[in-house]
Amino acid sequence: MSRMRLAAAEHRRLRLRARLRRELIGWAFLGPMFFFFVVFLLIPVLGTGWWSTQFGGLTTGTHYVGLDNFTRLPDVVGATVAVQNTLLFALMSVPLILIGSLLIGLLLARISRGGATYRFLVYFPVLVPPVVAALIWLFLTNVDFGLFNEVLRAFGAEPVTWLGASTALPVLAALDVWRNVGYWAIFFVAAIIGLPEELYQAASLDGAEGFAKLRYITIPLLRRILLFAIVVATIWGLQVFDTALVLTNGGPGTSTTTIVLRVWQYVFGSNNKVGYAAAISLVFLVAILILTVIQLYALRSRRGED
Amino acid sequence: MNADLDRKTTQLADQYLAGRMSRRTFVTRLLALGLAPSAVGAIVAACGSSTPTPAPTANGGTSSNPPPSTAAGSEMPTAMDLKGNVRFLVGPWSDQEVEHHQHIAQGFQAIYPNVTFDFRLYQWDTAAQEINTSVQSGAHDVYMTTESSYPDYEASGVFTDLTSRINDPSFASELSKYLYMDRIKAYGDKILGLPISWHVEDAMFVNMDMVKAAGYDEHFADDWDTFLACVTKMTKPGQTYGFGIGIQLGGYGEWYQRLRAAGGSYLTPDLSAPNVNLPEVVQATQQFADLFKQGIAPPLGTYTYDNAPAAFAAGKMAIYSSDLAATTVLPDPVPFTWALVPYPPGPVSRVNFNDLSIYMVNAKSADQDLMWEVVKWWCNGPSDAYWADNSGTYPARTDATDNGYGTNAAPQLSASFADFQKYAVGLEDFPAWADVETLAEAEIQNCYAGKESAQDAVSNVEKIVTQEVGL
Repeated sequence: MSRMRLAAAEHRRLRLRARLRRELIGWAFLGPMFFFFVVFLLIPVLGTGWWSTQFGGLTTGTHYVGLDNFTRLPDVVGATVAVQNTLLFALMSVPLILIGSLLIGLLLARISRGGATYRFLVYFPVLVPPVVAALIWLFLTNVDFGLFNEVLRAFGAEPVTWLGASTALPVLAALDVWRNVGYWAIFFVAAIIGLPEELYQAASLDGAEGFAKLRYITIPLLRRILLFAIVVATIWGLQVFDTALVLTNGGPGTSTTTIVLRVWQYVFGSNNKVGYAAAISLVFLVAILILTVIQLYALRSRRGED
Repeated sequence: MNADLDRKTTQLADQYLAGRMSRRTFVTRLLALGLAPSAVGAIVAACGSSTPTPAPTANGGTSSNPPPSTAAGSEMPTAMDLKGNVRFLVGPWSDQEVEHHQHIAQGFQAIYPNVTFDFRLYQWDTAAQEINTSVQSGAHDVYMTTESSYPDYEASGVFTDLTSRINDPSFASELSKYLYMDRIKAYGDKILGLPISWHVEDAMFVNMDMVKAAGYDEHFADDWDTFLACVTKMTKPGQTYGFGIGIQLGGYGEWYQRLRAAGGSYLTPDLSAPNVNLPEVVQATQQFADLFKQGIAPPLGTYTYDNAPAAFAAGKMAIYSSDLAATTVLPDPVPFTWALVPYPPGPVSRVNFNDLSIYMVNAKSADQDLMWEVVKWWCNGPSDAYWADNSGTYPARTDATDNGYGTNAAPQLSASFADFQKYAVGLEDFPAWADVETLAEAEIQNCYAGKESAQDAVSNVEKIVTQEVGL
């Protein structure tokens, strides 16, 4: 059988053509993503940067004020409270979500029959839209006829003002845990089921008990997904808005006014504070980026122990 | 149709056919007789509404051609002149808000069958946002706005300047029937709309049976000490709170009227400096904060704007503070005698905060003549009386009672009207008043919740004024 040999130039031409085709197909697949990235992320971020240098509102026109919106932020009454509320909310909700979802994930991974039903039940709150979830909790927390106080009364306890000034933020955090724990639990179930069984068998032969297996096998092997969950859950926690708006509208007083809620109030509740809102958004964006980098650094640095 | 109604209808029809009455007056008076809009439409049609009818002109004569639609007066264009779709954005004053507007629209359509309507509701806690977004995008034509944002609208120019139409001599007789045009005119050179209601934002809904059982009469709120003794006596731990406050949406106007009752205001009369941090204002704030400390007021968050009326009717609160629209959602019947009473005096005076609802036209709407006719119709005597009567608010016209106001409204409204008018105080004329009010009420509620002292809260409100106004 004779072998056909291509000339070098022809070879280069065909190789270039194949490469070009591959590139075009690649860009064709990536194109929509880039389009939406530019339209829904890049342009809004750039727009926010522009707005942050303006004084005025959506309907009143604007004028350039340089960095004034940034320099005035620390003096804004209520700014510190909004930051405190947001951090407190994240500190309450994120650890509970992650610990709760990990425990649920461990339990679900052990269920051999009817696991799908349990997984659905655990995941169900995730399917409830935030506004609906907030409305459900509005009924649950009603002082006179809400379920929570009915339970307390059944045990002879005094009813609680769940959405009061000192309790509303923890209630918001509890709502967030209820809504999100199922989401991360499903992640953890999938990861735990995929862990190599032989490691556990070897550990059993070495006499390791349940907690030791969790501490020395499961947790280290889940570290990557845990890292992802910590970072994303923290970002989501810091961005709390919709449930706070519906359940308490930031009150009583400013006890549940979070950073994003304050941004929303400035953009849509005021006629000339879009610049403030944009400045807060940019500062918040940078703060989240820094926090994420710190989390990644802190958690990744331990990978050498694996 | 009974004989009396028949006779009156015939008399009106005779006057209309003789050219002694404009079509608007004819329709308005038919509606005032209590006829359904569909019946009015049929009568107008039977009287030949599609043929040009001599309409009285401003100088008292008649014209075979009705005035052009650009005329600002009360004469109406012919039915054929007006056509199009009018999109309303209005506030949800009652559960039947849209039905009420549809009822008013039917009267308009009896005269102008080629005009159609859409009604969309905004929510109170996002009203400013929804109105701003809508008017900017041209999504609606006619807006029910609140006076609190009037200075902002005046500055922004997004609504049509109706000054020339409203000041037109042919509209003068109608204009004289509006109760609060002077307030609207005081905001600046431009008149942006016509008022439809005058609304008391924070009245006391009082269980008079409890007041009497505590040994007091209707004068219990005439001075602070008597009021305090009364609400203290009515408070029964675990059963009844003496005075429910901090329930109104965003606390709107609640502390503001205490600020005014203490001789303060957000800005000095010349609008040059804050006028908040006064000893009397701190004292008035502390008085309310003490109500929470003593368990007389339910802790903030116990009751919401939506569930408070039922709690009041169930005797959970002897008195509670809300706007008058709550009269439309109280259970019927309320199982006790109740009354509407202005807030007790503050350290300096006794005041009760109120504001207006005003119809405005989007400057982007194409057919401004149609919108003006629509606004005039919505703010005329029968329409205003009908709407206010069903919305738990006071109409903004002198002829409201003649046009049927008081038919459906809770009798407590008319019984308390004189008192509320006597102690009425409105908002101040500067842009960002609404922004300041929102932030200030939240700050003061922090004090009510025990998170900061009255002095700190008042100082913070002064800072808010300085920042928001840009002093």
